[in-house]
Amino acid sequence: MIDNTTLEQLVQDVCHTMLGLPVTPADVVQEMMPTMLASISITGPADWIVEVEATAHCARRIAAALFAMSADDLSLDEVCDALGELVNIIGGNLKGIMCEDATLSLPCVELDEVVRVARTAPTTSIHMLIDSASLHVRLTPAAAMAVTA
Amino acid sequence: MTATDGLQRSPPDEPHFIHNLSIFMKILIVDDSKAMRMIIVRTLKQAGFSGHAILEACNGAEALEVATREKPNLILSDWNMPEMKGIDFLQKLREVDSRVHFGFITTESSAEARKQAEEAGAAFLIRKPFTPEAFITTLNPFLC
Repeated sequence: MIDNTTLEQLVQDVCHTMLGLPVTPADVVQEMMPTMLASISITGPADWIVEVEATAHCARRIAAALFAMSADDLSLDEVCDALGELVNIIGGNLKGIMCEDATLSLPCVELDEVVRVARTAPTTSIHMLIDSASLHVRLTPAAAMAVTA
Repeated sequence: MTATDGLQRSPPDEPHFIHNLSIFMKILIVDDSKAMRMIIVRTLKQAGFSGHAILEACNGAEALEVATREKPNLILSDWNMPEMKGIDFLQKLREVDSRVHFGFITTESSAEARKQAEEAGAAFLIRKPFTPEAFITTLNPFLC
């Protein structure tokens, strides 16, 4: 199981290297509305779901860094693509730590209007800030994911 | 096969290599993420590998068509993509006797994947996230 410190360090490394953005742990958990949710699954001896949830502002900030464009000039598809690639890199690196031989799915990006997922099992969960915008990264056993409408 | 951990631990001090820009090459970049394709192009420039023709494809199937038509000198491919994975794309290339230089840029780092890549004829594997320095180290033999 990955602890919060390891997940924080991994996310900071990825964001620093790929985005060139400073990412810091959030002292206070903020309500995140509206949000975009990117997820990817790790399938192996144990199955996991990695999720990156960002406010729309944060997602655009990430996409602007990846595309080297102004946030206002990006389409929704481009923002979704960027967030999906972020969860792909985070998920792939987590797979490398947890179980190298597991299989990584393709990323999936959803907007806030879709079903929310209730989690009943402990997860590794961190809140980060990118330029004061909220980013939430979670690692959850797949068996613990239950869909609620 | 060279495998490079591109995670940046501290700022590098070494200057970038200056490459022979008169050598014009076609580089095919294959990744289902448009953002990642742009990052790879940007990192190639940051590493000093400018002046080459850049081709793009969003999955292995499209890349096979592009590679057949354009005959690139170097292919940089993701591993996990829809339609056709990178390893399947490489195997298809080798089936038609293509000897194009091929490397993976991927989060995939398992020993099994590296073995598969090497057996299929990949020359290197660069891990995501990567730095310009990782590109310089790995791609110098192919782009100079």
